[in-house]
Amino acid sequence: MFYDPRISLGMLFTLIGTVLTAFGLATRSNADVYSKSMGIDANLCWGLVLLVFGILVLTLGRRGQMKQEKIKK
Amino acid sequence: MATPNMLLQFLPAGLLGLGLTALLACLMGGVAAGVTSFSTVFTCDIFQAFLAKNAADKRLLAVARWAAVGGMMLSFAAACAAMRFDSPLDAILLVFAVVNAPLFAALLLGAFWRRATGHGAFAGLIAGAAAALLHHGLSLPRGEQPGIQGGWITVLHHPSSDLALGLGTAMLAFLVSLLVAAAVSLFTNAAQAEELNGLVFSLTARPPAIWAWWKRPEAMAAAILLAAIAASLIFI
Repeated sequence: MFYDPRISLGMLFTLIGTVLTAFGLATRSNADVYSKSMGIDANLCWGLVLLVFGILVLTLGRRGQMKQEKIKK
Repeated sequence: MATPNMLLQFLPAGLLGLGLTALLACLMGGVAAGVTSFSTVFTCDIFQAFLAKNAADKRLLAVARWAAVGGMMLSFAAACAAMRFDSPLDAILLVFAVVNAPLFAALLLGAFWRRATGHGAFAGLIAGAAAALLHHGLSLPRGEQPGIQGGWITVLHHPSSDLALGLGTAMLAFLVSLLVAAAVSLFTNAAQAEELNGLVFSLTARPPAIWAWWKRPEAMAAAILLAAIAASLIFI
């Protein structure tokens, strides 16, 4: 059976992105947490970046897997 | 130490954990690759090839495991030695100058000159590494103590810095290795053309270039070179 490694990588990035985005949203109003990063909500920004990247990789991986399975049939 | 300090300075809680985890994972991956390749090379290319030719698999496995332990010990020692340099980059440069510069010369000669022989390459490697060690032992960067940073034989000249010493050592090692390998190759028997098929550039069949220009290695190499020059000009 062919397994596209992009699927598990995409899952990992999506998971981390979700956790980071949720944490960023929850601590958005807390100025203490973001005094280090000059007031920017870095958790939210990078969480969204990772989320988008993860979903992109996951989609590409699923597409690759579908293609392989179609060739097999 | 720049990366961890930057992470601690600027990243908020949350992203900081992710950054440190990624950094540690990256370091662990590098160490794991180094340990595995050390133990494989020691077991297959040294132990099995010279010390115990008919060893059983069980013994080889034990040797590989202990070789990994020994490799870790060696790298501890190397790290302690590297701490005496002003920057780890200087230590890496020294290792590259002694080991990689002669290797590069032998590889280039073997790939592009069909008259090159194995004996010539080996002599070139030894001579290049010896010349590098000699140069390193005879010169000392300004304002340093004799020892691992150079001058452990006697001090004949003072390069302006560790970087200058390392680059000079590398160039000398490369030139000596190239010359010795070429000279010894001319005095040993040449290999037959059939044996070299696919190994030497002039004897390798090259398929016609059918790729688009942006898929060719030449275009990529030129792009990387231009990018490196541009980056040097920007950050000079």
